[in-house]
Amino acid sequence: MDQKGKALALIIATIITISSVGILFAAGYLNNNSPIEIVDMAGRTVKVNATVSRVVILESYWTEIACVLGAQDNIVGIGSYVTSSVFIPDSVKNKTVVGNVFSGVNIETVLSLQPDLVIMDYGYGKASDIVASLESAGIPVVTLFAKNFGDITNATAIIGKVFGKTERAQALVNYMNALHTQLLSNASKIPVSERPRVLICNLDVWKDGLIYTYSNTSWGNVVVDVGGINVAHEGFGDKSWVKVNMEQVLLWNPDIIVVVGRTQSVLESQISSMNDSTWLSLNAVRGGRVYPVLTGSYDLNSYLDWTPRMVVGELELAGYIQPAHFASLNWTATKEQLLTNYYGYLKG
Amino acid sequence: MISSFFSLPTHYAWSLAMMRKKILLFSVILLPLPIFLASLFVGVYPIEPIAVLGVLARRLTDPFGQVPSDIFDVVVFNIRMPRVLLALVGGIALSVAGASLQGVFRNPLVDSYILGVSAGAGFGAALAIAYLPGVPGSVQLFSFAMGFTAFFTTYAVAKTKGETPVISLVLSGVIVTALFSAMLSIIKFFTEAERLAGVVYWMMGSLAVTGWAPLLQTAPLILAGFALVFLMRWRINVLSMGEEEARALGINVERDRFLVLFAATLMVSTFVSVAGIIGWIGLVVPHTVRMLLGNPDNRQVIPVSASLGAAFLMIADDLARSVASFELPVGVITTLVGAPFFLYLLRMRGGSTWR
Amino acid sequence: MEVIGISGLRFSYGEGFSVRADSLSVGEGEVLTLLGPNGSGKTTVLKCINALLKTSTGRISICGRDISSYTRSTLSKVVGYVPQSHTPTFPFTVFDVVLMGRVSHLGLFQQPSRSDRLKAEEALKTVGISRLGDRIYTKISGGERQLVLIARAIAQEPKLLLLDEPTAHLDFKNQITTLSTIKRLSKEKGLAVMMSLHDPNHALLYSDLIALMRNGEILICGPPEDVVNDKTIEEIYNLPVDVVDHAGRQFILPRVEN
Repeated sequence: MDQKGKALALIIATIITISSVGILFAAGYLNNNSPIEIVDMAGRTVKVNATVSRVVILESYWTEIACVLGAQDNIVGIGSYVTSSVFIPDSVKNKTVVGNVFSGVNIETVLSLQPDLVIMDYGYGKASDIVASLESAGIPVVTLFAKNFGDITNATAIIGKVFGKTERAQALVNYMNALHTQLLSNASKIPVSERPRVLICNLDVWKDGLIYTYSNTSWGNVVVDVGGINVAHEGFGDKSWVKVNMEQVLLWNPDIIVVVGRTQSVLESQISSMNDSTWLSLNAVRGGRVYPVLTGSYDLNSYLDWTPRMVVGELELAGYIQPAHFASLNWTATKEQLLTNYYGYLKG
Repeated sequence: MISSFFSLPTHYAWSLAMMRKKILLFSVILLPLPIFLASLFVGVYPIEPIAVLGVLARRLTDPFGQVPSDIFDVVVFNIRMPRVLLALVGGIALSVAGASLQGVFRNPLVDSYILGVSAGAGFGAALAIAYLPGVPGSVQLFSFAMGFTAFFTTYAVAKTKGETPVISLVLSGVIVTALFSAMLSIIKFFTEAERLAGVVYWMMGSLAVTGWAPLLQTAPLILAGFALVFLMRWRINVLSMGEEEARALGINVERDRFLVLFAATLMVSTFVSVAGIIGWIGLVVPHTVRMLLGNPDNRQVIPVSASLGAAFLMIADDLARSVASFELPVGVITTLVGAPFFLYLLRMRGGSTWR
Repeated sequence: MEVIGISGLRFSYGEGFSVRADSLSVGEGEVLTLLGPNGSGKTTVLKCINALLKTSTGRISICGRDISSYTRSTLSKVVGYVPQSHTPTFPFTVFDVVLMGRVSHLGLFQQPSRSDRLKAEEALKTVGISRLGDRIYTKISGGERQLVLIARAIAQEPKLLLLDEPTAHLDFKNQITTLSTIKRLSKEKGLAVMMSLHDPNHALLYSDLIALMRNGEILICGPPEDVVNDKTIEEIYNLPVDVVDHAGRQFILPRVEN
């Protein structure tokens, strides 16, 4: 079977699966716990109990999505990095830590938790070995991986389906898509002449004096999506990220600098390191257009992450890069809306 | 066969001390067996000992029964047993490589990685982690191949006019290690943070992800290397007297030394390719064995090191997989135990640790 | 019967220093001493004979066969070599060190058998150091160590014994013990012996033949009385000496001006 045939078969299979699930649902058959099939983001078809009640999740972002969908009581084990996320309730952070994709997981610990399913990333670290071990021990694994906005909504839909939270997941996905689509359409109307040159970077990753810039990465591309020109695309368009020295930054001379980091203190130290004559020779620094942006899940004000918070993160960047064109999309208002509607569990 | 490497010179009078020594020797040699069995009872998953015995009994009668019938069988037979066995052969590989390299290099402070194997293997693994993410087996294959490449490079660089003096081997080992470390740094530099973490964790060494496949791939190569060293164990005594002396005594030094180096590299890079870099075993175990025996005779040091190394790594890995719900890197445990123990040996022996 | 014969031997370390030995011959039960100052090429000649160095031209014949027809292990079955004693890295027992002399008789993967152990014990006995068997080689005296290395060479069951300055670093008594042992073994076992010495008096006391060396060349070779006199010794050492007779033996005394 050729690629097209495979893809077609996959689509048909997916359609059949989804529609049959729908029919079963309508007929009220779902309660009998017959297995459903899920096609995960690695393209694997996984048989999962229709109602899973015990799940182990290795990454903080997938755990967060599960919590957003209201499935925190069904999480019985977590990856070691989950505990550092502030968007996950303590009740989940107190669950058994089974390891992580880099150092490997303790298979016996996973088995002793008697999970119906493990959710984890694929494609790096020891992921493929872990999947093989879990499956040989009879535990189904759903693998996910986020490279762009669409991947987040796909993952949300899959996680929703796994936990039997399809409706809530669909609502969330619709909400995210609506905001994202509107953002893209607003940005597309901005003429090229009004697009500022943006450097999105981290000065602190290696502590070696070099500047870590995001080019053809999800964050680097958000800059373009919201109506900016990513300077790193000049010369490094095919690279996902690139480390450059100060001369390259001077050559780019961006209008706007977005500095990213996981914590406030990391951001502050980066900003303060720009207070020297070299940085001050840049348009962006002189014009006061340097914006610190929190990423990841260490701080409650972080929005650039592989979770529903990403919609706010996009708007946050849009507000910095094209304030005139995104006045109507007030990102702080959207933030409140998202937190109220989906992150209520954090207050409980 | 077993008694032949314990047989003592005939001029020794039979004495209680000799008897005691023989008993000690035999108990160390047999040590891996009880530890192997005990390790099957250790783990996070709660299983009654009687259930472990039940699984073992069933598997003894039907070792290759298809489709594990119950969870206990999965845990004991598919998870614990291959992993404990991997620790067993890994302990043999590292300690026997250490002991034999110490003999060839005439230096009791040499470890299993002196020929640049760890740097080469680390580079190969990083290459695969960075550029072939998720390709099954690529890390193992690359680290094994690069470990061997490092060894052959070291050997070729050291060889001048058909001879490879020990001092040249040491120097070129240092150079090759530096080169591969530098190349590893380049890869690290160009690797995204999340994959970089993969490289770092690989370097720490772990037996965490296993199953029967890695064991079946590595054990034959490791045991082949061990067999070669075991057969040449007395010759290593002669090699340890120095090149010229060994030659004068009638040894083809180039050939014999190459065989030992090759066997050590085979063992080490095979094991490193599945388990990463696990330190200190190759240094601490042969030392301890020489002390226990009160004798550096490799006819006994090699087999006893194999046993003690196997026992040590099995216990270290038991700790790695059972003290916390998540895995600890076993390489960190062997270093945490090995380094202070080595210091203790040095202090106790006033600097001459191997006597 | 000739055990070792050398003719027209040349060896050079690259450019500078070269060693030549035009004619030497040692028979069963004979002791030949290479006598000469430091750097005169004594060790080089011994190493050439043991194929530890490769000669450029000339012929070395051992037991009637050219040296090039020997492999490393067959050569070591007929040539026993006693290097200058040193401290090895590992503290083997004396017995284990002597046992190593058997390696040329064993295959690549063979371990020493009971008969090899008996031969090692016998070698210890022959040299008269059985009592040292289970002592630690690195912890015995230099004189004892020299005897152990001789025992190890005897365990090789050689026809020719080469010794490189066997009296170096030994005290007065141990020098005499070692040399007496060498002489005795040569006679008892019919061994051809070649050794290098520093002290002309030792050479006179224990040699059947003496070869005088200087600057890489053998000046003269023959029975002690033909070779050693005040002229030859003065020439090779560049030091004025007197030859005195005592109890029917010749002794060399340096002429010291007080």
